[in-house]
Amino acid sequence: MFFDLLASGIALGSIYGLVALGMVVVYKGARAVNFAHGEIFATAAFVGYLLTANGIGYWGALTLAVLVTTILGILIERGAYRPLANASDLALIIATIAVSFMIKGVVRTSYGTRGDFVAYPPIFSFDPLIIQGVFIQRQHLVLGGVAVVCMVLFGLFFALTRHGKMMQAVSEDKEAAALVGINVRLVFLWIWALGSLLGGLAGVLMAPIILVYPDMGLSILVKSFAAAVLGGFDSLAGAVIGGLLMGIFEQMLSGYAGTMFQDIAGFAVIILVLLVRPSGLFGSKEQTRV
Amino acid sequence: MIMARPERVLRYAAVAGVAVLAVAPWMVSLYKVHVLNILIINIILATSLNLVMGYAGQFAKANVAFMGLGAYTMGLLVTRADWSFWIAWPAGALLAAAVGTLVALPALRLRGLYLAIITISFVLIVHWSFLHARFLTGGASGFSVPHPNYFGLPIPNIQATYYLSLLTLLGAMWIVRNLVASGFGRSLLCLAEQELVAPALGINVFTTKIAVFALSGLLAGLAGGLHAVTLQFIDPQNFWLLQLVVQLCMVALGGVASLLGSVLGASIMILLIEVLRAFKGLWEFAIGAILLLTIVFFPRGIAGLVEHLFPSLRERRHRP
Repeated sequence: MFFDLLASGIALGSIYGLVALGMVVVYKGARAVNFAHGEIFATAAFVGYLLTANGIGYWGALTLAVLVTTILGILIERGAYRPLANASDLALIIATIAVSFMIKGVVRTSYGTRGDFVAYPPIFSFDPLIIQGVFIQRQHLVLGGVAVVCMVLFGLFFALTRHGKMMQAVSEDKEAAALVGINVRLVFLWIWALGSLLGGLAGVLMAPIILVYPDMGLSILVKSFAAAVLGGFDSLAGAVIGGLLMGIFEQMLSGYAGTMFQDIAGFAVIILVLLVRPSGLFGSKEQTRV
Repeated sequence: MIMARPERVLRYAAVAGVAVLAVAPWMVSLYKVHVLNILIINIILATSLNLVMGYAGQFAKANVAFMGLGAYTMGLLVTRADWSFWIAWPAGALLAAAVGTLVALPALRLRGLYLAIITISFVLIVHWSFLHARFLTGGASGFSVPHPNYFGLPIPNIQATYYLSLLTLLGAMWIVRNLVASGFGRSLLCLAEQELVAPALGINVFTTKIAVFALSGLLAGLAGGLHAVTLQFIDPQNFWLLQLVVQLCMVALGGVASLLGSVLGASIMILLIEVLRAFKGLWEFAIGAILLLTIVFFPRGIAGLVEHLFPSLRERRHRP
């Protein structure tokens, strides 16, 4: 049982890591916590569902749904982030909460008469793989694998390409970046687009193993928040590792203590980490300036 | 000092508003009395949130949890322990205030984003406990609460509860108005503007924060108890994230650090909820859009706009 839980924990955790990564990219790059990130995830899952229901294959639906959320990220940047670029943190937090409600309203209305819960068609048959006596869901294997590949690709992009380096420069110091000729506004746009892309990707990846419903964004938001807080909110590697730890912790808790505790694992992690070590495992210490 | 005209207008408007609220139960249907009652309770809640978020500048949003604790404590004491409402209600509010002081402790260390996250998590954990402590709270299906005993007052119970809410509101407004005009109010302002400077000015950050969280918890707890006897029902759904965002909307839309703002924000939101009640998706979108437009175009809310147009209406930070 321990290894079964560990396997599903790693698979789910890699998806939490992907969602958290999208959130941390936006926080690190644009100094904004995106409370609408869960809704981006939910939008991708729902758009993917609509497309597959209309006969488009899994990977085609994934690509289109991710495209939709990327555009959504650009819209959020233009509509909510840019007008508030010089406003307080509080204003930004409220703005993204507002955006999350707007998205949720639209998605809920689009469900129409479909009912509140819809099932995403599975990618593979249901019989699990048994390796050395450990049960592994085939879907978990693929999802975890794709999530890890995406995270590695993203890390390479961020570390090696010119665009990635420009994003790093802006997140270090946006005045200095502007001074050396980087178009900071454009980079912000990319950051939001990229963050939403990651959130959307996770949404379509995870949709086949959970039910799709209008309020699904909240629970993933809490879990990826917990992952990001655990890893330290401004560390990309921290988000991924935090996601994995969060997935394993949650699966263990629900396996050994009961499924009702699965809902609370995220909050517990958030509160404990913030009380004991607010900068998380890998985050840089917050500095207080007057 | 000669009073400026807009200020006098505001004062008359406030008196007229209270007068209208006082006679309203005799003029309108019982359902409208009920809606007005909900409005009054929400003004108390908005005032309570504004105290912490606006005046003290602490981005804590645990109010919904305080409200829930006030409601559940009152309800359980009345239904399970046969306490009188008149003892159970303040007991619930005191418990909420006590928990408020506990929530103030992380606020001594965390600020901004982290404080927001930890308090939101706290709200969701309290909601989760209401949902899962079935043996006590009845879980998701909740439980009914009787009307308070009004000792044979010759008016319908709904009206009596309404007047109780109105009196509580007036008391809360009176206390908060005097408090923000006092030295304590100016300490809060200093916490909001420059927290690091506060100790240098001799402000005890520890006691100030604890006091403001406790008072906010007390008001939210009282409002929670009133909310429960108004609906005559308690279930976890009322103490969830949606409620939190609605309260946030009230404060942001009405105006941060303004009593007038709390009143205006709560009134507009409750009106909106009543009008859009039938369309769930639409009303979520509307709330989001209103909140976003307010933040972008009127960062200080409606009250900020009013004060900008009529500077003499700016709230006093000292006694006249």
